[in-house]
Formats: sequence, C-alpha cells, structure tokens
Amino acid sequence: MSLTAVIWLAGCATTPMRDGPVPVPGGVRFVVSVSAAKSVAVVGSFNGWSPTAHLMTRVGSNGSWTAVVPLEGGEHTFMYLVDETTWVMPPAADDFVTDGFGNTNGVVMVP
Amino acid sequence: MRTPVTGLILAAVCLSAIDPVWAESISVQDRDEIARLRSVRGFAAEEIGPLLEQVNKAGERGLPVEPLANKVKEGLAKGVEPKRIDPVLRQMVTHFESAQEALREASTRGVTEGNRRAAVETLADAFSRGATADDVRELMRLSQDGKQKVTQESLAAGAKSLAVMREGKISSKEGAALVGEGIRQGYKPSELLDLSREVKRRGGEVREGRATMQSLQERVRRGERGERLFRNEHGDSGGGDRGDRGGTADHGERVREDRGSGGGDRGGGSDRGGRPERGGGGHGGRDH
Repeated sequence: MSLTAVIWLAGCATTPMRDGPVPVPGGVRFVVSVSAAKSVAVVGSFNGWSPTAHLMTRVGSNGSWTAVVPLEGGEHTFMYLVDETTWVMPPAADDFVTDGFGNTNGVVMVP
Repeated sequence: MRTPVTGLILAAVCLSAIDPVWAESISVQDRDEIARLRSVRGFAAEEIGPLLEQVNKAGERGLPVEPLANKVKEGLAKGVEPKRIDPVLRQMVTHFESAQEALREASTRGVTEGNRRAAVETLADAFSRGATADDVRELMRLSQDGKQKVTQESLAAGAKSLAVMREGKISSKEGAALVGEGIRQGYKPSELLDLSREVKRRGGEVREGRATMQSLQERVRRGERGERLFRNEHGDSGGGDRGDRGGTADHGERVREDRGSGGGDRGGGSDRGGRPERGGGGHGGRDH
C-alpha cells in the first residue's frame, strides 16, 4: 500500500463525519450524532416513512450513526427515528420544511 | 353506427375534462402499507377510510395521488391521529388545484407544457410555502423575451424559489427580479432552486449589506451559474460557514414521543417555523 493511501485512510479514520446527508457513490450518506441511543433509523418520503427500512449503523464511540441510502434524483423529506419512539428533526439538511403536523422535516436534494 | 360514434366522442370529451394521463387511484401497495401502519398504531379501519377516499377523489380529478398517499403514511408513521391528517390532506388538495389552475392560465399565455405532473407538484409546494398566483403572473411577465421559451416546470420552480428566498427574508421584489432573470437565462428548474436555497442561506449577508441582490442578478444576466455566482472578486465563496452543502438546524431538537407527535404546537397550515442557525436553511412550508 502506498504512503499516500495510508495517509488517506488514516485521515478517514480520524476525521469525524459531519452530520447531514452527503451524496456518495451508491446513494446518499446520512450521518447524525445521537448519543445513548439503542437504534436510529432514517425515515422519509423515499422509503414510504417506514421506520424499519433504513436502520443506521453506529460508527465509533462518539454517538455517530450512519446509513447509505440509494435515492432517486429530486427532493426527499426525512427525519430520524431514535429507539423506535422518538422522532428527531435532522440537525443538518439541504433545507427544512414543516410537515403540517407540527414537526420539521429535513430535505435532501439529489441531483 | 351513429350512437357508438357519438358515445365515443362524449367519452373523449368527458375524459379530457380531467387529465386523462393523470386520473388515478391509490395503488394497492400504498393502500396495504397504510393499512399496516394503521394497524401498528392501533387506529380503527373506519378512521382511515375518509383519508383514502379523499386521496382517491383527488386522483379522479386528475390531481397527483402519490404525494397524498405519502402524507397519510407519514402521518401514521409519526403517530398522528387520522382526524389530524385529514385537514393537512385537504390543504394539499387545495394547493394542487390552485397549481393546476395557475398552470392552465400560464398555458394560455404561451408558457409551454413540459412535465406537467412535476410542475403541478412543485407549484403546489410553492403555494404551501407562501407563493401566490400573482407571483406566478409576475414571474411570467419578468421572464418574457428570454433565451428560451418558459416552461411550466421552470415557472413552478421559479415560484418555489421565490417562496424559499422569502423564507430567508429576501424581499419579494428583489427575489422575483432575480428568479425572473434566471428563467430568462434558461436556468433549469433545479438550478433555480439551488440558487434560491443559496440566497436563503446567505440572507443575512444581504440584509447586512455585504451582498446585494442586484449584483447577483447582474451575474445571472451575464450567464454565470452555480457556485461561480457566489464567488467574490478574490475567487473565494464569501461568507457563510457551510463547509459543504446544507443548512444546519437547531441541534438535537427532539420531537415528542411518537404517539403524541404533532401535538399541535405549530399545527395546521400556518405552522411555518423559522429558526435557522449558522446560516442554515430555516424552516418553511410543507413538503408533499
């Protein structure tokens, strides 16, 4: 493995992922920091608001959770569901809209 | 032979009253998923019936069904009682109807029809975020004689862009002038929306006088696009502390426990919030 690759990998390992949705190969990576959670799911218009379709994976020990979701182009609204009971407004997103029920959805734009 | 021919003509006339491409009902898959969510939440089937009926009636009138079905699913998933989902659906239907009407009017004024479904959904979204039919007319006026013919999609995206910029406290006049110029220059709908979100994020800079909408409009007029628009003379992207994309909302706003979600703190149609932090997007409108 080249030195450049080692440095790059080391950088990846030590750089905390920023909260929010980011396009990556294969879809959009959602990252959210929720400490002391047993489970976190990203739930939105792209999965018919299914609480179980896209469960997130805990990353590291700082309470970060992540999931890569394949998304079609366009706008998608979403929230996070913590421990299957608590809906959490995304702390970061491309935009925010109210849902009509008193909550705020995040919006992710996919080119 | 005369009767069948007359019948066919009558049928054609009746079908054209609605949009033959659009008349649809809720899909079996959506219906099943709604039934599943209802069951999980412990609501009675009778409580859901009126919602499904409302969705299907909208479909019969040529309005988009999928966003309505999705809103029902969203409400149930969040534990919202069906009787509180009902007015939200009604408001969406009203916005769809207004959007259809505005686009019909635009067609009579030379706006070309593209993807009509996308245009109706986008314009309805614009209306839900505060845009008006007058805004649409103003954008039509401002975007005349542009590089390309104005399409329904770009007009709808323009109206939504205007609404988004208003959420960033940009004046209607300046916002409309900028969006109108974008349409004139042949901006794609996605480019108009990206532009508006960037302006919304940088609304503080405009209000503080560190950036002007006039200079931005001039850059658009010169044909500049994308990130170039927000670079200053030194080549950097100016203020704002977004490292990448996206605004930042108040951190960790926890929404209430699921069954009681949407307890009416900002419920109904006028629940537009607005608490952007660090140049974040702020909140506004209702999604479809």
